[in-house]
Amino acid sequence: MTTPSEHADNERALDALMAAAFRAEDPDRPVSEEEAGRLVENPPALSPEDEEVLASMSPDYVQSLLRSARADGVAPRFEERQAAPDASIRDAYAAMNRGREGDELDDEARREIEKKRRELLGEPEAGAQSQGDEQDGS
Amino acid sequence: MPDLIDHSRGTGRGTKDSGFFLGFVVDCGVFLAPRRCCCEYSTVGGAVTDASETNKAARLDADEVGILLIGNREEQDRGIDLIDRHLRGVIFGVMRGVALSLRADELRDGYQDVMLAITQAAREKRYDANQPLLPFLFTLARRKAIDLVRKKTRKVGVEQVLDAITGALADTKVGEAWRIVAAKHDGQRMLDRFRNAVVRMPERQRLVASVMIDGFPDELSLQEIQEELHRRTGEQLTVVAVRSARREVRRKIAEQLVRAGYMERENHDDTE
Repeated sequence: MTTPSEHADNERALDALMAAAFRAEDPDRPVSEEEAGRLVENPPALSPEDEEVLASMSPDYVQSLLRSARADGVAPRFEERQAAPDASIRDAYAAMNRGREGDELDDEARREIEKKRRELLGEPEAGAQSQGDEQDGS
Repeated sequence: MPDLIDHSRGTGRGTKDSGFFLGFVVDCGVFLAPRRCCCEYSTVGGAVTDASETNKAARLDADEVGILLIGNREEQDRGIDLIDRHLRGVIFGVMRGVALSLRADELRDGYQDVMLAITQAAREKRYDANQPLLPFLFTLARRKAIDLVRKKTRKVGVEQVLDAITGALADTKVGEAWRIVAAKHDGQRMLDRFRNAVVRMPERQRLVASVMIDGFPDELSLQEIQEELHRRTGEQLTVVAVRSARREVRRKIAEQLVRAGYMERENHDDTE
């Protein structure tokens, strides 16, 4: 029999796992090649509303935007942003080469986060070969 | 699930000759098949062709796209178009995975920003074909989404979140189940399942979940969730509706552990 206190603690634990799914990783870390491959093979889920928006976008969506922006400013947002300086490319490259201008986390903090994340997930230390971690996809 | 990797290409490392750029090594050889492409392409004889004409299997050669992006304007447009057609759904998913609180139209705006950034980089010769295309693309997408989320929410750092998660799991039945998950090195897969379960929830439940997630490690009261939802969406839900949604959110997370065999199903009421 679960007591009210235990029930509340379990709810808190469920909230924690849900938070872990979205917030247990350093969001500024770069995507590795392994992870990129996994994302392509098993694309992350989309909400029904996301699917609707996707379905409403034409097959040549970006090309249309580019053409419109060039022609007559039909896509003002895109045109406007084309004119604005964009540091995101530089930042993404910098992240992939470790370190990012203005980053709040130093290498030691990143290592500590990664260590805690691995402990939470039961993943072996970086560089260690994991044996027997083949899980079925059920 | 189709075979997405062209194993005949070994590691995927190789020298490409696109006719306009000789001897450039692109360190990314993953061939892709889109989950949600609108028009299928394949590479035939080194050229990117429309699969609707060739009836070949849908595959995108990331090497080829990387080289197109450092070509002339027409080639750049071709590369951008291929990314758009083949990876739109994946990029949406990558962004959704870190930006639960964004509306779908905001996600589309973020996608525009990603594609614009790639286009700008190509136009200004800042695209680096030495970097593997897909990790770069997904890193960029995630950063764009996070930037959008940071405008809307305030969060504590990852390290504090991890500490709080560990603390919340201690001495609980859910925590016991999670210890088995971790012992079986199944943590990442289960987190993917939780994430997908939340993303697929009906909108109201998803919004409540996003407030709970963004608020963690604080445990928000029903009234606080209600107020935050009102601030974010303008919608005024009743406390009863918030309570019902939160109960469903938690039930669906628990259900993932149950279905994976890590925990027994338990029927109980939300006692608050």
